[in-house]
Amino acid sequence: MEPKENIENLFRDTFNGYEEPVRPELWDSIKSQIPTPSAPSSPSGNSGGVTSAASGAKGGLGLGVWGGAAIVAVTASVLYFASPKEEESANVQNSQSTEQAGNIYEDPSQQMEPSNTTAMSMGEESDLQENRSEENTSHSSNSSAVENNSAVQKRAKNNTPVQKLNPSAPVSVTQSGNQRATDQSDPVLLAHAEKTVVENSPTQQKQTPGQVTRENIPDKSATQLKQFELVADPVKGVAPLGVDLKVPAFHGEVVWEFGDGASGFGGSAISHEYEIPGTYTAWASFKDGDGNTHKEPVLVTVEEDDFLKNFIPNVFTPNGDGINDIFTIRSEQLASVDVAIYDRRGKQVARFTDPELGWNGNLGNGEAAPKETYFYVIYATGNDGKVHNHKGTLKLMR
Amino acid sequence: MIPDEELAKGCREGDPKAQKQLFDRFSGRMLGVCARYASSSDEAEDILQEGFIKVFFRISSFKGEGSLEGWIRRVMVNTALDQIRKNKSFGKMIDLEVASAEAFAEDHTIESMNAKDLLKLMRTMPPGFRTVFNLYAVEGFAHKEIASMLGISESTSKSQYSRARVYLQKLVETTEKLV
Repeated sequence: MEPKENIENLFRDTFNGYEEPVRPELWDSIKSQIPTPSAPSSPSGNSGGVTSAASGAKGGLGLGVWGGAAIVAVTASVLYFASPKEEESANVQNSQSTEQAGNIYEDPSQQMEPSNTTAMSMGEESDLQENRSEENTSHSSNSSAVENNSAVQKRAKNNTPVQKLNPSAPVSVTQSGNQRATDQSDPVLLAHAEKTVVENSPTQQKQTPGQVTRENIPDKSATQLKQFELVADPVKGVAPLGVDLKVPAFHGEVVWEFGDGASGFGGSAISHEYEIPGTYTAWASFKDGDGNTHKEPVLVTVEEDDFLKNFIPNVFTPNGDGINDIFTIRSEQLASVDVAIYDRRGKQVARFTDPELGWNGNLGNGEAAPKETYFYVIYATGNDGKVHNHKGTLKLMR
Repeated sequence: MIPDEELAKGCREGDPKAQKQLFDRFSGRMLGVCARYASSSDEAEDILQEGFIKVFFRISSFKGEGSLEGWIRRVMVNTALDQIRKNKSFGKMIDLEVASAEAFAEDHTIESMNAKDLLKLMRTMPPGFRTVFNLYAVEGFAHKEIASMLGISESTSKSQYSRARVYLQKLVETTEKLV
């Protein structure tokens, strides 16, 4: 495989954190189409739902019944009428009166489009997700799972945002055994979830073409859980840190969540690059040969590259007084540098590879850059050939 | 600043203030994501709207197992893919002409690439190529996964990607003039 070089980096770096200004009218439009509380009641009062028939201005979105505060997600039911001819399928969904809020947004006509293989893997996928949520419910009665949990918490004491192991518990508890929760916590997979949901409902008989037939659902309660471990190599290093993640004893498909907001789907070994210093918990979710769902964590610590720190000025005053008038990085220990500077909106304002030139504080059009905080990304190579990448902020003063 | 978890909780309860705050916090970055998939700014806004409506309806399925932003982002990507499917854009697997990349580059001299410039370049590609490139290069999905997301074969994903890559490389090289 050919090495990933500049083009990927260019796009990834440029779009990393990139923002576009949002017109305020967009919010007004969204606001009119989203759920509101059923009543100004206490958070626990899920006494009923309100009916609204707002139909979307764009794209034919509409909504029907909103089932009260979503704490008991299972009771929520939303209808979607894509077009008059879809009413029948919408009614079918209504009769299930279960929890597929959101699935129904998917234009039913699209459901026919993807190939069978697509549908198949999506079906299996949400299956896996569901199993995971069921597993959550059994934590209290499964001592090994509980131990596992606390171990995770101990390892993750550096407190990354990923660590919330329990918020789902109150929801899960309300899910009855047969009513398997449609917990598609991975929304990428939602597009096809409807097919799966249909089969989940005990009352649902009718199938339309393109649906996946679910195979035997394994009974997890009786089987002994196999133990798996997620291994990261290295577990610690300087940013950007490429980490090989692997579940050694397992061969099959794995849903990966890297803890930095990225996720993936692939085999039991995968590589991920952590670009920004921090502590992350990566998760591997998969189903073993016995049909049991596993979700294994590993902690990855990504450190600042101190090597460059010493060479980067922290003051930048391009006012022509001869002191700190250019921003650059100079060291006899560096063979090459490539520095890009971005403003707060993610727009690249300058880039240089010649340390003697650096950045003079002007924008591309020759105007002086405003006094504000900028971000820089430095790709540098040391004389020893070692790559040192660094991201940081730069305060421009005049 | 209210932590993400609090915001998510407020949104689960349908608190309008929390909904607004969540929108304000993430909409800029999410529009940036949508823009990469869309053929126009209007389409990007459509995707953003539809995506956020989904977010508010589905917020209860966010279990706090990953970052809130990552979850919202996946909703947006998913919505973008739906949009593209709806437009049947995948049916049109027109080939990419590197010659047209050069023609484009002649008209557009860009001194240093910023996101807007790259968006312009990306939008010269048909949606199929653009989507595969986005999913693989920017989002970091594997070809196998892209194949199942788009309902195409893995080898189609690979070949579309490599053609998109060559095309963009050419475009960037001829367009970009380093300062």
